[in-house]
Amino acid sequence: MDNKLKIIGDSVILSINPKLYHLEVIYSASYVFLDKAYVFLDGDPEKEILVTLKPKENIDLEKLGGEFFNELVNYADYRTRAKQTQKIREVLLQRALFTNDPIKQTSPEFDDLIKGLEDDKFDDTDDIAIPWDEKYKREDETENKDKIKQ
Amino acid sequence: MKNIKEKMKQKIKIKLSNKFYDKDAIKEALSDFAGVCQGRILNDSIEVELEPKEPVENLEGEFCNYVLGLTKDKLI
Repeated sequence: MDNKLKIIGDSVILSINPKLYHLEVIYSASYVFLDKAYVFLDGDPEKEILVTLKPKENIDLEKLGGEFFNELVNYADYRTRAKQTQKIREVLLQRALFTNDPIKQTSPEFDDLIKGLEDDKFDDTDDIAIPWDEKYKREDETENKDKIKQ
Repeated sequence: MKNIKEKMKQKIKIKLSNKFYDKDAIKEALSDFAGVCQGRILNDSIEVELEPKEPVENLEGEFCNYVLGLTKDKLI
């Protein structure tokens, strides 16, 4: 652990093997620490990545470094799982989009109903097609409107 | 008061490795920090110079964190 974590002044420098942790994982872990510490990345992305953490508040530096390594493991696991489940997630998304496609959802009954409405051949026994104003217009209102017009 | 004014006069130089930090992210950060400081990229390696307009505690740290956030958003 000692050679992976060095405390210099008010900062802790972590040495990370890029063969163990992908750069994407290091960025993600660093992002989590932005509110706790000032994070600086340096080194060689092929050989050794150096992460310097300078805490914003007085925190135990060794603990902070340890937490960063834990976060690396967390994101490395997340990345592996994301890769493993990529295909199934894509299939699920495709399926969800397919079942919600209104074009694919049409059935013969639904088509008949739409056609009937378009042909306007339904019995309007309850006067549904008559507009509200026409149906419930009171006579006194029409008289008043006529007076106003005059 | 004198101390604050002297700090504001001081130019801050930051070295950011071009292997980890995106140059466009740095340019964007410089534009976003325009209210707080003036800055420019000095070379390709990438050295940034910040000239504070008002006293900000740990300006270089805040700037680096901001650039790192932008770089992460651009690359991932």
